[in-house]
Formats: sequence, C-alpha cells, structure tokens
Amino acid sequence: MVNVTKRMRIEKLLIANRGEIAVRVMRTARELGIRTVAVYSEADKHALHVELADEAILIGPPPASESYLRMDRIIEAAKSAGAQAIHPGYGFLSENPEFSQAVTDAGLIFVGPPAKAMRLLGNKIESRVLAQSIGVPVTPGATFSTPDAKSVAPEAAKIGYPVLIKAAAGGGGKGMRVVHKPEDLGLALEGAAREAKSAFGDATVYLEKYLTRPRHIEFQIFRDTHGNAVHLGERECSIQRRHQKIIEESPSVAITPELRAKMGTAAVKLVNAAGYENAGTVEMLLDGATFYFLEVNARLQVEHPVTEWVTGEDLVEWQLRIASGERLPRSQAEISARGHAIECRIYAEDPANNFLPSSGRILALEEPHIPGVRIDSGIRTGSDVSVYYDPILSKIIARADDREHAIEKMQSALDNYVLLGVATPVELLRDVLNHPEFRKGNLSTHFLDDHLPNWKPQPPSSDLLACALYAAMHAPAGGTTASANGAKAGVPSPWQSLGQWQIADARVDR
Amino acid sequence: MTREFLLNNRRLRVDIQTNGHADLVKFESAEHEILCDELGAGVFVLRNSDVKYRARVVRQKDRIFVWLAGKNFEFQIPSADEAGTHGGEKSPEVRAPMPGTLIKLLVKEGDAVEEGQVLAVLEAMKMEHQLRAPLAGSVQKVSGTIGAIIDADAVIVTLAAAG
Repeated sequence: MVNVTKRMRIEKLLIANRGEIAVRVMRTARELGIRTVAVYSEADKHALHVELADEAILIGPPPASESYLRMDRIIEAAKSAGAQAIHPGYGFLSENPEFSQAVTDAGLIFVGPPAKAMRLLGNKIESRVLAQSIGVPVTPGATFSTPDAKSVAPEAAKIGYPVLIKAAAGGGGKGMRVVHKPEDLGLALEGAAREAKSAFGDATVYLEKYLTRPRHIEFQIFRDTHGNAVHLGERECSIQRRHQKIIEESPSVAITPELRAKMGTAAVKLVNAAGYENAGTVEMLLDGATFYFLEVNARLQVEHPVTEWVTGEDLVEWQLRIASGERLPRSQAEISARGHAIECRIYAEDPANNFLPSSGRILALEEPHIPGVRIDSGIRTGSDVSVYYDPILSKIIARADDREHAIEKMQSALDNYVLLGVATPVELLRDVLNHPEFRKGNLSTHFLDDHLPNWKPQPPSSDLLACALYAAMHAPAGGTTASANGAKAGVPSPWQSLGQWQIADARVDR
Repeated sequence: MTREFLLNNRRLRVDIQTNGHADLVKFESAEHEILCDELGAGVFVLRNSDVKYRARVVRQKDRIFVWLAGKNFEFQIPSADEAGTHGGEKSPEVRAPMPGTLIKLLVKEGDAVEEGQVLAVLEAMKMEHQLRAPLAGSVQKVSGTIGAIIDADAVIVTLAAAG
C-alpha cells in the first residue's frame, strides 16, 4: 500500500521542559541541524537549558502551574519563534492529551503520541481495560473518580490487602500510597487524591493489588504514523525509593530471550491496539516468570539512555523522525542489544534524611570523564536548585560488555562525581551497587527496604575525617555565594579571622 | 590554631599545628600528620600516612562543604550563641525541614498531641511531607498559614511538653 502522508521536516523545535531532559533533547536536535527554542520560568533565568538553546523565551513566574504547565504560553512561544514542533520531554505537559491536541490544533507537530492514544494509554484505567481485551495480563484492581473510603473499601477487601492507591493520570510516584490495613484507607485516599489533583489536575485514583516482591520491567516501544511498531528490549528499574526509580539497567538479569520475546510482543500488541505513535514505555511487573501489565508511559522516559547504549540508537532522533512522518528507522529484526548499561539518577535529596528534597546552590561540580560513561546533566556550577520543580539534577549512565563491568564502571564514575552545595544520593547509590544481592542481580522494588533500611552513610575513618577537617579549615573564604558568617552583628566570631588565618597558613605551605 | 565544627550534630574540636615539614591535626583522641598541596581555590591534594586524597572545598555562609575521596562532608560552623549549647533534648519547635508550601495544618492552639502525630503537611518539589510531633504535649503556637511559602527551618508549630 502506498502511503500518502506528507513528510514534514522540522527545522525549529521548541522544548517544553527544563533541566537535563531539555538539554538532552537539544543535543540531538542540534546534531540533526534543527534549531532549538527553550522556554523558561523566572526561576530558571540562569538555567543550563536556557544557556544552551538557540533561543529562549520566558513563559512565566516560577510555579510550574504558571509557566511550564501553561499550554497557551508555550504554544504562543512556539508560534512567535517560528518553531514547527514541540517536544514535551517528560513530566510537566508530556502526558497531557489536551496539550497534544492543542499543539496539533495550532498547526504544530507534537513530538509524542496523538491525544486519542495518549488518553487511552496514558490513563491507567483505560489502558488496563484495553490490555485485558487483547489478552495481556493485568493485576487485579479498580478505579475511582471520586475516591472516598466508603466506596473504595469493599473493592479493597475484594482484592485483598495490601493494596496500592495511585493517581490515574501520570506517574513518578506522585499520589501513590500503599495501604496495609482497612482503617488506613481513608487518610491514604485523601492524600493520594490531593497529590494527584495538584500534580496532574485530576483527582481520579486507581486501586490495585500490591505485589510484595515484584521486579519492575519495562519495554521501550516505538510506533510510526504508518502503523509499524517495534520494541527495543527491556529495562529493569526495580531499585526504587518511594516508588520512584533511582537505578535502571538493561538488559535485566531476570529476562530470558524467550520471556523477552513474549513480553515485547505483548507490549507491541498493546500499542498497536491503541493506535499509539512515537516513543512509549510499557511498564510491567514481573513476579517469578509471571508478568502483569502495569501502565504505559506515553513519553520518553528518564531512563531512556540505558536502551540507547545497548541498542546503539538515539531515541530522541527516532522521536523526531517519527514526528516528521518518517517510517521507523529499523525493523524488529534489525534491532539488537549488545553489552550492559546501567543508570544512576542524581537527585537533589538527602537519602540519610528520609530522601527529603535539598535545595540550594550548586557550589562545585565536577562530572567524571571516563570512557563508557555518559552524563546527562541539567546543571553547572552556580546553578540554583529551587523548590519549584522535580529535584532530578543529572543522570550517570555506564556501559560495558557485561553487567559486572558496567557496575564497576559506574562505581568509578560515582567515586569521582563531585557535587557540593546540595545533598545527593551518591553514597547510597554506591552502597546499593556494592551490595552482594545487587551484584547477584537479586532485585525487587523493595530492595532498599529489604537490604538497606534506614540507610546512613558509612562513618568516615579517622584518617579520612582528619583530612576532611584539614580541608574544611582551609576553605576559601567564599565567593559571591558566601556572606560573612553565622555570627550576630557586634559579636566577634572566631570565623571572622578565618580568611587571614588561611592566608598565613598558605604562606607556610609555600 | 583551634576551631570547632559540627558534623551531623557531632561537635569536633580541631587543632592544627605545623611541625616544620607537615601539619599535625588533632581532634578527639586522634593525631594525624598531613601534607597538603593547594592546587587551586578549594582544590587540595592531601597526604595522610602516605595515602593520597583528592579534596574539593567550598564555603557558603556558616557551612563548609568538603568532597574528599568520594565522600561528602557538610561541616557547620557553630555560631557564637550556639557555642556551648548541647543537643540531646527534643526541641518543642516543629520546623520546616526544607522550603515548601504549607498545604495542611492539622492542629490548632491548645490541642493535645501525641508523639509522632502529624501536625502539618508541607509540599515541596511536588511531594508531600508530613511534619510530626517530636514529643507529646500541647500546641502552644501555630505560626504557619495554609498556602504560605515556608523557608527551610522556619518554625511552624510550637509545642509545650506534657507533664
């Protein structure tokens, strides 16, 4: 059959996002000769994505609801800049079907699925119904648009505790609650609905059976506008905290070639049935050798680089080509994976303190340059980490011929990753990678609770602490970021003399 | 030269003296001989018992951040009025652990609270954080208002200990 879809060429692309993903999309766009337009809020005036784009347009005040979630301003920015297409990144508007529709209605290309498919698959409930209808297994569960304990309790009892409540729209662990006892249902529903409403503007929640030790396995899929679909293998994302992934890898040690073919086929079948287009991820839970469809993430994933590294493909390039109306760059038979890739997410948060977000200024940053290590970063020295947005700062991705060497390479990258000013989980990530159960590949979504509960950093040896104290006593007086010191006016502090003392000491060194 | 630092509530009194060819660092009961090269502002190579360490140091107000051989240290410089006070007792002041928006206040002045009871909910970076009572007692003062942007360390609820 001859396809008559007119091939569209993107010459200028607006990226409706910030941080590392905006920077990541720009890199590929630039490689393809596409000019890039960044949008930013007042809080991001000095952000890296603004610096790196060919053009940057201010779209509003810091709160996301007044900037990165403002469809009208973003579309207006794209039109005024003369962009033909909008890439939504992940988070923000990426999985909002109204945005996909509004972009299309404005005569622009949305680099992602059409509204209809997104509505169907991006919605956890409708996608489950679809999966069931084509024979893809799902976990038992139900949905509630007005979540109150009275209507939910009978269903929860039927499914059996523990149950999981989550936002029907969106992902990222927002609005998620595990409920172990019937009496906890009310408060959990209330919190989940509120978080769902604030993050996605929709309070509908989904209730499902909570599997106690599953692996999180997801399949990267692509489908073009001509109806061709492929999968690019799996990623295992079992290492999570608060239902949010922190370490991802490909391939998974738990997936045999037979299981991969079976799960991959199920994923492709699902996106075909949904009339999906562009990049998507079919998330599944694996319990032994039994898999359950979980949800579809109708966007590019944070962890897409691990797939890029084992397959040798640039997924953003695929996205842009498919959005332009081109056919899939490769057939299923032409796609193969080699070696092993692993990703660690660097969030601004303190794993020793309940993973509380940490905000502030990045006072020093040294990203390691190691062969086989890729860093997707949205920050530089001097970047401010604000309270307004998701605290992801960067991602470290390591690749080697096998899992063991990929882990070692990652260790080396983490050992040499310097970030000062905000808390990061680097030391926790190292402890996970060093853990014998992780090395053996015995992963589950409860890995941290099972093996590193209430994690605290290893106390430093006396030798190390002596050096750290020595270094602290020789700290530079501080640049523009540092004001005087903690002392009250008029009260002389010993630290007021630190600068002079330091100079005197430096003279001794010479 | 003697200085005091706080490291995760651990108070460290450090003394450094030079013995002509190296610096002697003393803290607690330990004594270390350290050789130091400053390669640039805040960039050091340190040698302690022939082991070489790479270090990066920055200071921001009363905090000193040190990256040393893959480990991060955040030292606090005790302020003048803080010096000499000791931790250990639970503070009756419930403070915001980080900046955010106060989205829920679950108690009012005069309410009796139990240890661990949720007093308020703070939203930061799209996540909700529950602020719990550190001790049993009654609510003496509620300082926050719903919807307000709260600074890190701001007092939200003040309790009076029971008994």
